Amino acid sequence: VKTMKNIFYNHTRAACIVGLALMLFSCGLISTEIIYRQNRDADFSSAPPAASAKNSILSTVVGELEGLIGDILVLKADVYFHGMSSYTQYLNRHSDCHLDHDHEHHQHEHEDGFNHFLYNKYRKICPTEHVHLDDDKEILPWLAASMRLNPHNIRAYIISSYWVGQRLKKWDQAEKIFHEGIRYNPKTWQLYYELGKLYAIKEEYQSALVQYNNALKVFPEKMSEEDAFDCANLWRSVGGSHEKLGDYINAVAAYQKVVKLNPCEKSLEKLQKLVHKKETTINNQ
Amino acid sequence: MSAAIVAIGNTLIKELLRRKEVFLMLFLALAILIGAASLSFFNVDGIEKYLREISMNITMLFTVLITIGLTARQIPLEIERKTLYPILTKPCSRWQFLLGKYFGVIAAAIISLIFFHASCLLVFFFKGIKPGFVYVEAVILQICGLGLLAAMALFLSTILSSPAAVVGIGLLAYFFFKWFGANIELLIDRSSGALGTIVPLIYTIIPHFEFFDLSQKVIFSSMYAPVGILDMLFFVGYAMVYSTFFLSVSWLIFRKKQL
Repeated sequence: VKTMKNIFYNHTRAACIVGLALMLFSCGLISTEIIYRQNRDADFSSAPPAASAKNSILSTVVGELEGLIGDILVLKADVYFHGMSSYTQYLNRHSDCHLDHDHEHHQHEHEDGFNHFLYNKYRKICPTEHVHLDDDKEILPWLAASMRLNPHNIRAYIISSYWVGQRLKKWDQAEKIFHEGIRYNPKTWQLYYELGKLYAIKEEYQSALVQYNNALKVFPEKMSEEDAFDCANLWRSVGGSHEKLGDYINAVAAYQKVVKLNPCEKSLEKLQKLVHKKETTINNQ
Repeated sequence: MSAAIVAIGNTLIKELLRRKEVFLMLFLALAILIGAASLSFFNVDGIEKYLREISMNITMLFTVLITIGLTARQIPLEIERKTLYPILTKPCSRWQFLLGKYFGVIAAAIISLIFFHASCLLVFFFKGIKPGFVYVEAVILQICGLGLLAAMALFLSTILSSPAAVVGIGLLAYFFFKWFGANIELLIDRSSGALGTIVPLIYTIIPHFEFFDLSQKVIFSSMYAPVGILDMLFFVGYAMVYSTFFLSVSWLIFRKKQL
């Protein structure tokens, strides 16, 4: 006790060092959290690591940190979408149920959660129920900032264009988002694919096909099981666009690739037969 | 309240206004708020929650900095400059001196809060944002939180001899305790063995600054109900009890301190 007293009374430098050590410890905790969250979002890990492509003053000053902040802002948008509810904490702990927003899992939260009278009080000011934002557009500022800070964050482009295009029906803005993303990430197939899907929603199938073909051009040659699944989805979209344009031959060819890449899809075989049937009918006429 | 406490408290308010730090921070906050308010996102109108969040965070951060900075300077500098001796030779006991400093810091913190919230409300008014009743609750809890922080900083300034150390360790403790309290479920989930027993114990002991941050409810005021009167009373009571504890310990140290 006497030594501690001496340190705090007379050695303020030592106290500062302790403070600095604690600060480093906190930084370590925060960085571990970021890495954990990034691993959780591994479905988009094909994108390059966070790094700014812009030669802005900010990127010169803060370097790679700018990209990292950009990545965090995407997570911020997700937290916003859940009304900043600490339900997102639960998702961090049980990342396996993130995508389906499983309500059954959520019920376990209160059963298994930390039961402490102080924390129960804290829940009154920081609700834990699973809620979704009443006004979707509110997440846009964080996504816009994320894209600006880390132009290689593919997830930010895809989520932004979804909200701006499909939810707010601002198709031109959604298209702009993708074009900006492609400018910074010309070898990322997801952006071409999503842009193609956007054109398909707008019923501009010819433009959609151009983008799907661009996606196929940059699609990785060595495919994992997951890549094969993605590629099958891409070919299915190609088939769909050809079908809508009345080009049944190319549609069938595309669907055949889907079945080849993902043999489990029985429904596609049926669709293939249907397309054949249609083609025969047209030829007979 | 004795005249000595009021007189000591008054000097702090004068110090706050004389040093101009608060005005510099206010100018900075206004610049950030006006800049943020003028932004446009994908030509979509009516986005406001980000502005609420920036306002709440700026207000919180700047008032925390002002409070801790102001508190940290009091006792160590009074001792260093030897200005404490003439005060204590007057009819002013050490506990009155300590209380005077504490209430002075709280008054200064409230004045700063009024400045910052007035700026936020001005920006809200021009953007057509309605803050709602929960905003009032948030301000009340912010005052309580700053009171607790001031008590903690005063306690630190009785054991540390330099204002820089008080500011450094005080800020670190504030942000760490806040983070720890808000993320306790995550921490408990990841701690095993002896750590699993220690973490809840630490949670019970540490001051909970996260209780005084109603940002979530202010930002999403349309989604969440305001905090009830009973819960508000609990949080106010918690701040008072913990502040009293810090002040009592500070007094116990300060009354026997060799000056």
